[in-house]
Amino acid sequence: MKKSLAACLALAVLLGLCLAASATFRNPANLMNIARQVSYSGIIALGMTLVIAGGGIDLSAGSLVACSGIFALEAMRRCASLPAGVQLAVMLATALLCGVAGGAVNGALVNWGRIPPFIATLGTLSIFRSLAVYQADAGLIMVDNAWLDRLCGGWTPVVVLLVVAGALAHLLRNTPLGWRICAVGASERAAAYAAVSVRRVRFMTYAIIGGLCGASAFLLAGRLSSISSTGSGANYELDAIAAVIIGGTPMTGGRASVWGTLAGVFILGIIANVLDLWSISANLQGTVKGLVIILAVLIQFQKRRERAG
Amino acid sequence: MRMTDVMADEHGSISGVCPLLAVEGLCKSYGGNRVLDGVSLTVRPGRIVGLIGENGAGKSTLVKCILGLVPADAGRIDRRATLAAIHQELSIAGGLSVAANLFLGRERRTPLGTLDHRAMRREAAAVFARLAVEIDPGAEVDSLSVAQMQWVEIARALSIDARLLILDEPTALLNRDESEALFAVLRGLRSRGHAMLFISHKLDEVAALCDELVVLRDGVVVSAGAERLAPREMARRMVGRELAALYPPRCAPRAETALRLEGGFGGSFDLRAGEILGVAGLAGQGQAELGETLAGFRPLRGGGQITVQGRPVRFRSPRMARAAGIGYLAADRLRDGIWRDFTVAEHVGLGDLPRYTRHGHLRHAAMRSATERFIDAFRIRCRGPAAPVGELSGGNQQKVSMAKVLGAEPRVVIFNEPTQGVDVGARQEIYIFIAGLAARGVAVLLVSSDLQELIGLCRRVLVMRAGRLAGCVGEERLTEESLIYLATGVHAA
Repeated sequence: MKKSLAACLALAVLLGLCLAASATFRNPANLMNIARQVSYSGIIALGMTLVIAGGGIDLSAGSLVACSGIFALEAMRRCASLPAGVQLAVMLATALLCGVAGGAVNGALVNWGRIPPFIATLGTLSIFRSLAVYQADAGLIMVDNAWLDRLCGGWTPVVVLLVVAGALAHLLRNTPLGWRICAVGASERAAAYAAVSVRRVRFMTYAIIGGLCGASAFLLAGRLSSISSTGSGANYELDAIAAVIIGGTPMTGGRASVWGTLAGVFILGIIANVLDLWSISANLQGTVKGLVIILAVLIQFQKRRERAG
Repeated sequence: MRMTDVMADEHGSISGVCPLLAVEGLCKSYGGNRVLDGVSLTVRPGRIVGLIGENGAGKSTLVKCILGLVPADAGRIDRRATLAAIHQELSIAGGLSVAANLFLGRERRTPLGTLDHRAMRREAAAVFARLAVEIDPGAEVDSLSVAQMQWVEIARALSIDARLLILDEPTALLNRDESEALFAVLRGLRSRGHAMLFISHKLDEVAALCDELVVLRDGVVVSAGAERLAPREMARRMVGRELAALYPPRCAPRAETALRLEGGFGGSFDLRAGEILGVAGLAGQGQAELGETLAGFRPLRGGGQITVQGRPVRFRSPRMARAAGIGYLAADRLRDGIWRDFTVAEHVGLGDLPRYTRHGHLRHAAMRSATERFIDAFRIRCRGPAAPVGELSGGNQQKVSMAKVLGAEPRVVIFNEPTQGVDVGARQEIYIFIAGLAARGVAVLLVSSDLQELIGLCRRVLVMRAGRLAGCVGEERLTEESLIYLATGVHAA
């Protein structure tokens, strides 16, 4: 709880400094731009919080975004003769189904295949991306749907991000599943001895992040009017993991802070934006992002050492 | 061969004069609890000294002091030879070869600084030849049997030229033939001037092997010398302490059968409501497996039928056992029973989430008030429901882990070593609580390696040996001696 507070505090300070320092940053259009930009990987970061809290990791999330996006647009194209609204429904359903199915594959590999999550999702990272590339012949699939533009434009992605954050925070705090996720992450054996179905719980975390990947793909398609089989969702999983770490959720599992993750998402977004405004080479932005992650973990470890001492 | 000769020479010059190990007036306390109280013993070259005592008598603390793993509070320890300890839990590095294990930390090198595999294999083979055992130095240790791993440990002790071996329950995991082979080697080492401190619960082995015997009870040496004792007499000297006050009065079990096992683990038994049924045995004889099977953690192997409240059941998961009204308290509290970072309230909640859930949502207020009730009932000393369990003492952690299990109001509770690593005060509270459960009609299966605890709480104790139910000792014959006899297979004359 304190760690997520630290991340929120860091976000407040960062936001305050940037607001005060730069008129361009203050511009509402810029602020909205930041919020929208972080939403797509941010939604995944929220799901990643659950996966990591349950003692797992999902490296395949970015690929799954591309995969479910490509298949959703393909499904939409195949029913091009139907009304636009129906097309949209087909696309949304396909995206979510593909996402959940991909997450279920991860969950099955980890639980019933007994493959370590890092390795299982490293494998599916490659598979999902390759399926997307194969389906789209290494290109992108365009979409032209007036409803999609209207539905996914404006603040929609941000609203989805906030709603998902609220829902997952509620899940973690107020539902049996949320408690079981943390119990499994803290000690699988203790959870098993407390008659928690470890596999079912872990499976759920992967299914949830899978569904969120589908949702992210849907929103992304609406924003770009296309999904690129090679580029869409690239590195989303890394951004998501970074946000989770900055937010104070320990990589060892057992604790989760959805609000911390949300703060982490915005911290990364603001830093990227500020570097853009200062016209610092985009090629150097990775360095800054890396330093922020390392700094966040260093501070967290410092705290743990103090508490132990 | 030459090495042996040299050792015999050394041995000839000092034998009889100078013990390899002399302990004098050793005292050690843990938090006001005196574990060792003025312990003295000597081990001379060419002698095997048996060290016996009950669980908690101070044997392992004594060994730790001798090895220098824990500092003694008072007393002197003279070590005049290289020591090597062979533990019950083998300290073998899996994945490496036998030779690599023998030379771990002091690897032989070629002039170029690379590992000299050939030299290490040659030396390893020489050590095994001395022991007259056949183990390929190039084999991976994972491919060895437990007995063979034991050989590797002994070979390592010899290859560092240890003259004094401390063997802590070395035969716990060996079968009779393997034990005999081990004893042949130990006798061979003795004749070459090595000394051994041999710790075992298997009293017939101690009688057959040891030249001297030290009996430890409550941290005090109650008997020491070369006098030949029969296993019966050893058991008699190990026990004998007034404990009536520590245990609450036992009450009579009720008529109805809460749990029945038929034809499983090579036997059958009934557990009645309100009964505390003990399960005893030497380390690793299947007691934990029995408890875990009844709690649904493992399938009942080799046939048999479990009946709960008159209904036949077949558990495929702990959840099913839980639903049938069986609660299970794990032995290794820190690993299996608690989550260190979680609060007391979270433990109580996780113990029975469905109870605290309404319309898919957790009722935090109900959980908090239940936790407060548990804190009162168990006298858990903590700051409150929101205190992380990691900051509590061992006994209080154990109480939280009990509260977690009992929150679901099971009708049968299986306790696996409930007082392991728990101090005396908290231990008594746990006893009172177990007795209170039974008085309320809960059936209790108490798996314990503490025989006094079993005798103090139970009217009947099942004894397991080699994974099977060896028998049941009823109230009229319930003594430590009879339990030890049944557990070791030494029958009373």
